Amino acid sequence: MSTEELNENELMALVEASDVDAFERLYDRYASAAMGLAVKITRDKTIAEDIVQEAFWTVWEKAAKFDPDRGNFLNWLFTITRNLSLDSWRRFQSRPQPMANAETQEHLVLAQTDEVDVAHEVWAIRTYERVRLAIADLPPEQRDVIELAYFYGKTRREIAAETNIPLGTIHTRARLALQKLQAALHNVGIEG
Amino acid sequence: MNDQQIEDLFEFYVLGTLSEEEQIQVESYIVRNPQARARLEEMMQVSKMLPFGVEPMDPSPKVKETLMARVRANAESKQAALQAARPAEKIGRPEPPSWSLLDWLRSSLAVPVFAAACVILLIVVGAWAMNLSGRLAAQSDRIATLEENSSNLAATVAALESENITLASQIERLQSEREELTVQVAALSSENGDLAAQIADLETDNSELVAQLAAELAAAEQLSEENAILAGQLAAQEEVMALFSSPQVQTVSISGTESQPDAEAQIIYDAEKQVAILVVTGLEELANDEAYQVLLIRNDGHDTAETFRVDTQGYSVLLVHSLTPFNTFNAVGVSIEPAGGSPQRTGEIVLLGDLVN
Repeated sequence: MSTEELNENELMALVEASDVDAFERLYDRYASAAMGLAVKITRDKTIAEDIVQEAFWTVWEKAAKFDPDRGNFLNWLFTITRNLSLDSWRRFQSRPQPMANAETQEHLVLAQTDEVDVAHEVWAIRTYERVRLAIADLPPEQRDVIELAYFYGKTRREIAAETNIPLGTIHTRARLALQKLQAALHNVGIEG
Repeated sequence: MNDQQIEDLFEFYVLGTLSEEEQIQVESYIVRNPQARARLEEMMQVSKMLPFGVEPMDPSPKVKETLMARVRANAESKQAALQAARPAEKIGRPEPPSWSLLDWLRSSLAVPVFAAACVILLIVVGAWAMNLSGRLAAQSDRIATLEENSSNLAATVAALESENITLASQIERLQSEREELTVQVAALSSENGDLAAQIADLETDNSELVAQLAAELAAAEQLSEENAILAGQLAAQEEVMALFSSPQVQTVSISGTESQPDAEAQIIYDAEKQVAILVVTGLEELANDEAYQVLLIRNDGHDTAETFRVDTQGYSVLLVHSLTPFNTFNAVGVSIEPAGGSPQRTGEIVLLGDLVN
């Protein structure tokens, strides 16, 4: 069986056994997802590439710590990527850089591999589109709270101070945003 | 923090921005509250989808190239390490001898070794027992200290409760005083309102009185002026009476000059006095900026005296005062001067006559 037909849990089991091909398959499938998240948080493509490399190195080194019962691989990868990105962003906060290359705004692109992973591509397109629409449908004030907390690592007090909005209102907006997202994503059959 | 406050943290727990202390509080809470745990897990599913709201983006090929080189090198080194740890093969090696426990016990070394082991065991157990005894004594001391502290705390609590009762009673008394003061303040406010109204009335009366006073002062000033005029007239009448009653009074006629030939005058004077009466007729009326002035003429000069104006008939009567007795003058005249007079004659002489001294 080629690695193309294996799911993430099976691939990770092979990665834990130091299977380089399985690891490469995971990279080809999910590097772009990690890269998008890292760019979103750090706002620097060069730094984001370093983070993607470190995130996947963590996947290779800490493969034994991945527990499929606690969540799927992509969530685990997103958590690693987000943590690395927020750490980097906080360290280099004094010198945020605008995006250097316009091509970073491209739509979802196939991973650069000779073997087209069709099933994953379909799933990815569907999931990304549905989640983006659900987030876009949020009222702007609710979307802002989610953005500041999740993508910029701001605490609720920092958000309240920066936006000059009472802490209780920040809590309410976060709660309503998560409830709306839950309803929207449940309606389209996407679960975490 | 109560349960509701902890549940209020759920949103930011799933968004990953709580402090470490807050995270621990949430995680401790959901351990003992399965329903809350279920709610939190539902919210967690949503937050896991948030990264899908971001556009994916390909890293440059260099990233994969570097990463895969690193991974392959690591995989090779792991493989090499596994190979090195594999145990040696067993071909041609002699079997190690096997011993049984029973054989060993039967040997001559067993008994002394066993005895030595028992002694060592006894020593170790004894030391351990002594240690436990010491620790027990220490614990007993601690318990005694804690009991004493507890007794002290109870006494302190009792004292604080007693003080609390006293303070409550004082608070009650102060509240009662405050209520009384509130009533007094209300009464004073009412009285203050009445006083303000009275002050307003008094200010109105005062304004009226001030106006009346101003009017009366104006009237008094006018009366004073009239009085001064009357006093002047009285003095003049007295001078006239004194002049007329003098035995040396003389009357001299004065004629008009070529400029006013129809003018006539008579001067009534006492040569030893310094006052005379001048009666003028036939003089022409002058413009407003001109006046007739009396001239008292000597051989070496003249003095100017009063100015006067005539009525429509050209008539006027006036008292003339001189600085020296009239017997020091040779003649008297009248000239036209600017209104208010001149220190010396500047205008045309319209009346002129000699004095008899």
